[in-house]
Amino acid sequence: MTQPPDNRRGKRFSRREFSQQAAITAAAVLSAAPALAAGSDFGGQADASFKLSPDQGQEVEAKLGNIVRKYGDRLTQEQRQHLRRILTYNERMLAAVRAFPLQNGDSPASVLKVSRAEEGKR
Amino acid sequence: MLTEDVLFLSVRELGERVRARKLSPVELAESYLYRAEKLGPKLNAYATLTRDLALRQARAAEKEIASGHYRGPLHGIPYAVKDLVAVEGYPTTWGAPPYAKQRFDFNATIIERLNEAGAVLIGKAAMIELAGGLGYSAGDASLTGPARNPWNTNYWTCGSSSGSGAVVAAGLAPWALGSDTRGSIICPSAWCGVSGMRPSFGRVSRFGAMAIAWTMDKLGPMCRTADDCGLVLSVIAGHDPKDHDSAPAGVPAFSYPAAPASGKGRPLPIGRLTNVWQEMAPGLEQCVDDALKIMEKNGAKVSAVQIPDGPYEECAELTILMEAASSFQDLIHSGRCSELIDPVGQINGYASAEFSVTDYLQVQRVRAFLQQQIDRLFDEFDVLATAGESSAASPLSAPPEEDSAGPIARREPDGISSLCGLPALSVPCGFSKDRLPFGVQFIARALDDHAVIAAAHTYQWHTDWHRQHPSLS
Repeated sequence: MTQPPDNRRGKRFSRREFSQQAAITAAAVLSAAPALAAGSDFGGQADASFKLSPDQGQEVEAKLGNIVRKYGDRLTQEQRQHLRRILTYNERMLAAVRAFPLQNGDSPASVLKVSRAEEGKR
Repeated sequence: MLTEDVLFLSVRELGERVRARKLSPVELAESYLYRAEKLGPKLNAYATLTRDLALRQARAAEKEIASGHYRGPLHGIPYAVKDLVAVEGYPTTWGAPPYAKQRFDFNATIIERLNEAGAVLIGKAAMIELAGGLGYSAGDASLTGPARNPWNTNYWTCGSSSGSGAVVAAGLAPWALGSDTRGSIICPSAWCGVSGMRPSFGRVSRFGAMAIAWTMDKLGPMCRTADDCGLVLSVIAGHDPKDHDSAPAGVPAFSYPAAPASGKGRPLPIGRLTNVWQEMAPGLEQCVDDALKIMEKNGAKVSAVQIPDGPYEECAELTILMEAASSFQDLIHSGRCSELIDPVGQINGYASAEFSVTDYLQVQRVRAFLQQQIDRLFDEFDVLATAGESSAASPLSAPPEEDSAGPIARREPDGISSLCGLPALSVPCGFSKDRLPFGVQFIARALDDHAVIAAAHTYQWHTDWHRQHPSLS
């Protein structure tokens, strides 16, 4: 169910609100986190430059664990470390997007286009 | 062989001579082929030259024009195409070792349109492997080696349309087709000192071109002038039912005037972006200032404007990573991504395959909001302006970039405009102290492709940066 265009956001989105929320999120991201990867089998410490919150760190480790479970025989220790840095960066990007306030009816940018037979077939 | 004073002419100028039968398409093709064979390898500019096809097409064009059948501004004009576009019977390597022997038995829609226009394909331009679709950290991430900047071969061209930039800057063809998922036309155009246009999303069919991110990929021209970009776009644009994201048939077709505008149209409202780059190279800000002063002297009204807050960069990058994980899932799951050259490309797909579907949808829902937010800027301005890139070309010897280090540059214009499907056009506007080109880019509302061409054309009407070219021997 979508809301009428003029009232799409009953609570009108505020950039200030977003900035504040993003700042809180960023603070959470940047807060010192435990050395989540200490003693892990996946190649050492989490990226020291941008430490994650405990939840975010756990998500990174879970994803890395999943990759190693599926593809571990293809990956060197150096590549596992590199993957942890990539996953950490991805997590930082996801944090900002997840913090963005959306409402139930807000549609994605990519949606189904209806197709007609005369449009041609691939 | 024709000399540089001919080979560095614009498409429009060459076309006028070809039409008047003062210039032979066969001689033109032979001259560019000779130059491409002589200089191309020094620059790693071409992946493949299509000599036989070029001469066949040039002879056909010459015969047709002689018989009075002139097809239009690209008839008999040579060009290069980025090696991610399918050309029947020729290698289409996507710049990547796993696809080194790949060939298709059909032409991409864009090649069919150029064939119908009587254009002459000189060759397939080199590119970054998979157009950077699985990530890369340095300019040597290409099957053909690092593309070298014709202004100084110790410097890079930028990517991923790296060969296309080198081809046009070095006069190895008068124009080349590039692709742009986020910045892959604009950056090489700025660094190589050519005029490159990323059309609105959906303007140009991508059927037969390698996909990275379906909701962000665009094909577009890299030329000597903005006017040439308009000419080429008028040929390659148009609805194509074979591309699901092609602009609907109901969207007005892109047409371009047969003669260039006078450069003295109505006052053009330009928004000068003031908060998009984290830092700019010395001298670049001044060059952009000077460019906009020229626009003001010629009737434009320039005002400062800021991009509103929002996670543009995050949405752009995440969209590419997530969609590329799907585009290249066979490569990732098979493990053949290990055959890629760049250490990032070898493993990045594994990380991207871990994104969740809810995160993808969250990104796309936020994206819709950001699109609306940016679109509102164009209620006040016809175009936004800023540097084409934040620096001149970087040396090939520079250490590889580590994507995961450093703060997220949230408002880089390529991320914003690519995320929102906006047209952009970068044209040369000066040089660094090392005599490497700087670019200024114009960005317009989605589907207002004419606006960026008009702005850049006005600028070029009053300047001659686009007339300068490197000395090569």
